[in-house]
Amino acid sequence: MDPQFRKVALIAAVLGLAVAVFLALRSSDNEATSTAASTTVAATTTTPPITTAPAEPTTIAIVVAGGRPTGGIQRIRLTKGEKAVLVVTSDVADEIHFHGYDLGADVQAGGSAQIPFTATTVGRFEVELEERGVQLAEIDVRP
Amino acid sequence: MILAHGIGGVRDLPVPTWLFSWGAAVVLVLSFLLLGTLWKRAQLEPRAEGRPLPERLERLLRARGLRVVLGAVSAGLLVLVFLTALLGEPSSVENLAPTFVYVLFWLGLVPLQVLLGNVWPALNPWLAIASAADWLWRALGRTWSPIGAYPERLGVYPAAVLLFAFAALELCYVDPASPRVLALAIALYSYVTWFGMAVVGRRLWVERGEAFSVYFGLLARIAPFGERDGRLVLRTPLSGLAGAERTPGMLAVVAVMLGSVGFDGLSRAPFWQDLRARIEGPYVLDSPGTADLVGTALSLAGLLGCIALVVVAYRVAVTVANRAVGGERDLAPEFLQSLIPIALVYAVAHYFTLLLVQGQFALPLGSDPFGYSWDLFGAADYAPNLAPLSPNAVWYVQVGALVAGHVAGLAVAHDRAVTILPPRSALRSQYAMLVLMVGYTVGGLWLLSNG
Repeated sequence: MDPQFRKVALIAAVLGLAVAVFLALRSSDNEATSTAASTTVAATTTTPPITTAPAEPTTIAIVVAGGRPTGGIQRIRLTKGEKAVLVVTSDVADEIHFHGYDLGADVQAGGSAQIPFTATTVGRFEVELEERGVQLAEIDVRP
Repeated sequence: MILAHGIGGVRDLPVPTWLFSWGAAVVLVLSFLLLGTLWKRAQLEPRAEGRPLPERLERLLRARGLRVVLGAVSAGLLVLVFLTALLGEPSSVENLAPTFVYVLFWLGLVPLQVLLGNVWPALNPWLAIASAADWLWRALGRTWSPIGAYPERLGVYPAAVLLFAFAALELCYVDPASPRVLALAIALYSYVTWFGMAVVGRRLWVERGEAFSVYFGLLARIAPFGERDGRLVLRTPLSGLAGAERTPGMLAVVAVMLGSVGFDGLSRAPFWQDLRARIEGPYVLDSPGTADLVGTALSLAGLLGCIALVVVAYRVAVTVANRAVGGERDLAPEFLQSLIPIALVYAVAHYFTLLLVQGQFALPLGSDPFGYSWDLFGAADYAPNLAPLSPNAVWYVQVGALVAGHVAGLAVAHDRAVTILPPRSALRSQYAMLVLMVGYTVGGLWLLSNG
């Protein structure tokens, strides 16, 4: 056999094997994977899935002290379609801004602000004190 | 705003660990397979000649009229974007300038260059305006000759410095998407560019000092279309990367390309955000200015660190390769171009969704560039789709791009090695390059999975 051909065949065989193993293991590695792949189109619409959306919105409580989030930047995970409400209590006056969703609310010094929302768009989003440019939270919305 | 990469409110979810492991494993297996099985004779270099495009097509593409029209449109866009940045609503959500500069221009030109070849010289507004000025000057019966000779050993260092300045503005400055800041940046960059063109001649400045020409020009070497001996040619993709790159400063340019994207990824990692918050924290309340300054300084240090890391890693790999082949010739210029595909896929992996998502905002913003509630072509109310792809699709593109770039980089380095070295030395020179590229690629994957 032509040695050049043997090499190509070898590479093809190994790649084929890798792809096969990958496909076989993928679903067991991460069960969300296969469903997410099939809902590509659904991800573009804004209607939340009716399945697991709880009646009570998830509360994301953030306390700002000294212009900083207590406990550091909060990392929140939500599932697409979930209802949630950001509750920010602050000792400084500023504007709370939820990027990407582009929602905002003013907060007075010593007061609190609420931003209710439904997690319709998948991705990673930042919440910050807009005026001071201080990041408060990072919200992951997963399918 | 603490947004990485200048603009945009939606970011990609990090690549999950299982996919990271898969990507890394595929990279390793592929690398060793390729090392043992790749060609023994140069394949890219002989193909770099390419085949000339049909003469009628070439005449059409090089038509003076086309150049003038493209140049005029592009110059008009530069003026428009400068004016919107200077006079429009001072918010990146309402003003066209930030989206135009960081997305349409900086990211949108990348696929054009890689697919169509070096179209930037035909679009370059600074070059177009300089050429128009030169034409006018001649029409008035005067001549302009460059004032100074360009010192050859400066190479493309001016372009590297300016490219770094752009990256620093985008990734380190506290408010990169501020239209007013962009107006200042555009004014400064235009001034430097035209000054450079006036001093050393516009063609030379475009080759050596105009950061975007050098950056986009390197990417265009990957393209299936190129220019050889004054003719436009169709060639094997990547064959434009065959050959040594001896221009002084080119390693610096490539390092800024790779290092800046790497830093963009790093700056999104939780540990970096927490570090930044800790360092800025004490100043946030009483002295926000100091907090911004400290944060910018930290980012600059991070950016410089990432760029330095790219340079040092390449230097070390080349030193090892030099030793492995007996050190008769310095291999540093020989393998430099193999980093260009890796720089491209870093950019693809980190920015393609930004281009897809934020790029859509060009429609409503273009219809109302100043944010004055105009509606020039009825698109002001266009609502962009913030998640056009599922996270899975995004992850596969990201990981697939990094793996493909890795293979392309290895192939380019390998091709150079078998061109200039006897077979056994060629193989020995590639061990270090392989380790280097596995490092870049797995590092890139790590950034994606931790960003």
